[in-house]
Amino acid sequence: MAVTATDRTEALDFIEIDFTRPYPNLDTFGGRAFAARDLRRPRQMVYAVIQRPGVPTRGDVFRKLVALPAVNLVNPTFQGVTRVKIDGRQREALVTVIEFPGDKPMLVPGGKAASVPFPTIRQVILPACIRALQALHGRGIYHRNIRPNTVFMSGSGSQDFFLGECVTALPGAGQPSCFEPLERSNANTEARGEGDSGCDIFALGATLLSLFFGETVGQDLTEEQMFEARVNQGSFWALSRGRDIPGALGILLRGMLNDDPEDRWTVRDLSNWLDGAVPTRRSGMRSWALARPVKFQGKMFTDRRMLARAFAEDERRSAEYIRKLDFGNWIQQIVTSELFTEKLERLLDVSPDMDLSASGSSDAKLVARVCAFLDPRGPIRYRGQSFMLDGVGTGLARQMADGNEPGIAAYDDILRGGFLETLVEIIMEKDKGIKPFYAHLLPTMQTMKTLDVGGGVEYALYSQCDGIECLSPKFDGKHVNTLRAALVALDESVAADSSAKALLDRHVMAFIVARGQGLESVLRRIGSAGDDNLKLIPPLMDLLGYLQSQGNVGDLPNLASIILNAFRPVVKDLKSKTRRNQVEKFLKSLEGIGSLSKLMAKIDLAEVTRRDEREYYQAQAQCAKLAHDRRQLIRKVSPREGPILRTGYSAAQTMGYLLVSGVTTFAAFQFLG
Amino acid sequence: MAKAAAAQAGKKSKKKRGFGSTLLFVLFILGLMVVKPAVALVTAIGLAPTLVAMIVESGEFRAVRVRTIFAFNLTGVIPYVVKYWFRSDLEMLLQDFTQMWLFIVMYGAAAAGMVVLWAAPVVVATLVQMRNFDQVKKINKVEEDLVEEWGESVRQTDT
Repeated sequence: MAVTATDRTEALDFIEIDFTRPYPNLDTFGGRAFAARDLRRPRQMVYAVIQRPGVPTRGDVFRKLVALPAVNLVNPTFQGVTRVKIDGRQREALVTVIEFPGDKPMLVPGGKAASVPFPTIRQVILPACIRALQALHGRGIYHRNIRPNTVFMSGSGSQDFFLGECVTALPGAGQPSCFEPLERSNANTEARGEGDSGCDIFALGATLLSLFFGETVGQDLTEEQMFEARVNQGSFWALSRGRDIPGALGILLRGMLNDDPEDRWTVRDLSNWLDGAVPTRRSGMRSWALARPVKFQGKMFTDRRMLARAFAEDERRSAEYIRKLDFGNWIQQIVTSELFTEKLERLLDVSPDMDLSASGSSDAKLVARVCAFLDPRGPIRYRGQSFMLDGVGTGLARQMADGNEPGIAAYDDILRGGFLETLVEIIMEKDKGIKPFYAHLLPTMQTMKTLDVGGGVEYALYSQCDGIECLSPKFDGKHVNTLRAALVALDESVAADSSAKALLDRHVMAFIVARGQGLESVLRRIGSAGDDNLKLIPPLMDLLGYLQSQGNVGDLPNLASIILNAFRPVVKDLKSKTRRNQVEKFLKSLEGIGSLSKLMAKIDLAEVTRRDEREYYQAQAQCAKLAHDRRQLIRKVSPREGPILRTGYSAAQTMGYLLVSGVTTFAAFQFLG
Repeated sequence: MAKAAAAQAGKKSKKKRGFGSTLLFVLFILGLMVVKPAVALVTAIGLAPTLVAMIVESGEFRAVRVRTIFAFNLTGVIPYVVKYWFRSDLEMLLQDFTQMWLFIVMYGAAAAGMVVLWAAPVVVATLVQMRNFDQVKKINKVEEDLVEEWGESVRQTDT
C-alpha cells in the first residue's frame, strides 16, 4: 500500500501527519506508519497509522485503551478520518494516532541483534510484560500481536520495555504462524480470532526465545515445515531448533510454549516464576497421534492434525478417499481407540455416494466435518477458508475487501446454511471450549437468516467485526465507520433523482442493522415491501429519519429528495384529480427540506391513498346509482302505468268536483236570486 | 293462499259497497218520487250514465273513475234539478224529454267526464316524461363531474 499526501502534511483536527517521514518499522498488518504531531500536546511523541481500506481496526480495544491506557503498552490516543492518496488514488482513510515508542523495535524481521541476556529478560522484560498483560487481560483485551518487531525497549539509563500497539492489526493477523498457538496457526491470518490469554503467553514465549537468540525464530522454515516440526517435536523444540536453553529460562519458555492450552503457563504462573516458584502442571498428554500411520496422497501421516490439514488442501480428492473407506472401522482402528459413537457417525455422515454437483459442496462439507473431528481445536476448514470461530468477522472482512466471491460464499454457506451447527456438534464432542464462541455467533446467524434486507453475510461481517468500515461500493473512496457517517455519505453518494431502491444497498442496510439497535422490525417491513413504493417508502423514511434524529445529523437534501421523488409515482396513481394536484403542490412545497423526520411528520401518503381509494369506491357506487336512475328516467312513460293513471284520474276527479261545485253554486244563485 | 283469500274478500266487499251505493241511490230516487216526482225522474234519467258506470266499471281505479263521471254527470243534471225543483211539472218535463237538448246536456256532461278520464293520464304521462328528461340532464352533469374528478374508470360498473 503506497500512501502519500497531496500536501506535505495533512491536518486532522489537531493532528498533523508528516507523510514524508514514514516509519516502516512501525507498519502493521492494518496500515502504514508516519510521523505525526499532536498540536494539543506538542511535547507528546506520537505517530499515525493510516489504515488500509477494508482492513478493520480493533474498535473495542481502541475504546478501552483510550479510556484507560495500559502500562508498558504503546497506547492509542486518537482515531479520525483524513484524506490521503493511497496507491495513487485520493480517498478517505482511518488514522490511528499512537504513542511513539521509538522507531526501533527489538528485532526487525530477518534481522539479527545481540542476544538479550537472561538477567534483562528476568528483571526488565518479563516484569514489564506481566504488567502489560495483567492490565490488558483484566479488561478482557488480548494483545494478539506480540512478536520481536512489535516490542520496544526505551531509555538507556532506566530501561523499560513496551508491547507495541494492538489496535490497528487484527488479532494474530500478519503474525508469523510460529508466534501463534499451534491450534490457531493453521487458520487464515486474518481469521485467527481474538483468542485468549494463552495466545498472548505463547506469542510472548516465542518473542522471548527470539530475543534470547538474537534472531526471529522460525525464519528459515516454511509455514508447512514449521507446522510439521511443531506437531512432531512440540513448539518449544521446533522453535528453538534443538538449541538447548538451560536453567530457569528453559523452564519458563517450555511453560510458555506448551502446545496444550490447558498446560500452558498463565500470567500468574509467570509472576510466580519471577518470585522463584516453578509452577507444576500435570500434563494431560492429549494424544493427537494416529494409532497407525495413514497414507494419503503418497504421504504418510501419523498425526490427526496433520492429516486434517492435508485433507483440507484438496477437498475433492479427500472426499473421494474418505468415501472409499469403511469409515467406522477406519476411525476405530486407525484414527483413535476412543469409542466412535452413533451420534458421531450420524454427525459425520460419511456416505459412499459421490458428490455429482458442480459446486462440490457435498464433498467440501464432508471434508469439513471430518477435519473438525480430526482436529477439533483447530480452525474450521471449508472451501479454502480456514478460520477460528472467534475470527469469523475478521476472516470475512478480508474476503469482502478482496471481493473474493467463493470465500464470501463459503462463509455464507457455513453461517446461513445451518452447516455450522453440525460442525460445532462434532467439535463439542471433543472440545467444549468452543461453546462461548458459538453462543456469540448464534444471534448473528439468526438475524442473517431472518432478515431479507440488512441480513445475509454482510450482516455477519458488521455484527462480528465492530472495527470495520462500511464496504458498500456506494462509499467508494470514503471511510464510513459510524451510522452518522453512513447517513451523510449515503446522502452524498446518491443523486437526488435516484430511485428509493438505490438506497437498499446490502452493505449499507446490514451496516445500519448491525450498528443500530432494535432496527430489525423496520428492516423486516422494508424487506416485505418488495417493489411497492407505497409500502417501501414509509418504513424507509422511518428508518432514515430515526437515524438522522438519533445521530443528530444535519439536513440530508439528496435523501429527502429521493423520498419525495419516490412519492411522485404514488401521487400519479391517486385517482382524485383534485387530491392529486393538492398533494403534488404539497410535495413541491416540501422540496428543500432536508430533515427526514420532518418529512416523516408531514407526509402520511398511505393515509392519503387509503382515503383516495375509499372515496373512489364511493364515487364508483354513486356512478352506478346514477346510471341506474338514468335508465329508469329515459324509458317511455306510458299513460297506462299505475301511478300515472292514479295521478291522471285524481286530476280528472278534482276537475269534476270543481265543475260540479261551480255549476251548483251558479244554479242556486240564479234561481234563488 | 292467505293473500289470495284476502284479495277475494276485498273484491266481495267492493262489490257489496257498489251494490250498497246503488241501492242507496234507488231508495233516494223512490223517496224523491214521493215528494218531487219531476225532480226524481230527471235525476234518475239524467244520472243513468253514472249508474251504468257504477255497474260496468271495475278494477283498481273504479271508485275514482265513477266519482269523476258522477261529478261531470251531475254538472249536466243540476241545472234541470234546480229547474224542476221549483216547478215540478211533469208535463213540461215530458215536453223537455221530447227535445234532445236535455239529454245532450246531461249525457254530454257525463261523456265529457269520460273524455277527461281518458286525457288526464296522457297529459300526466307527457308532463312526467318532460320532467324525467330534465332529471337525466342533471344526472349526466353529475356523472360528468365525477368522471372529471375520478377518471373514466369510475364508470366501470356502469357497463
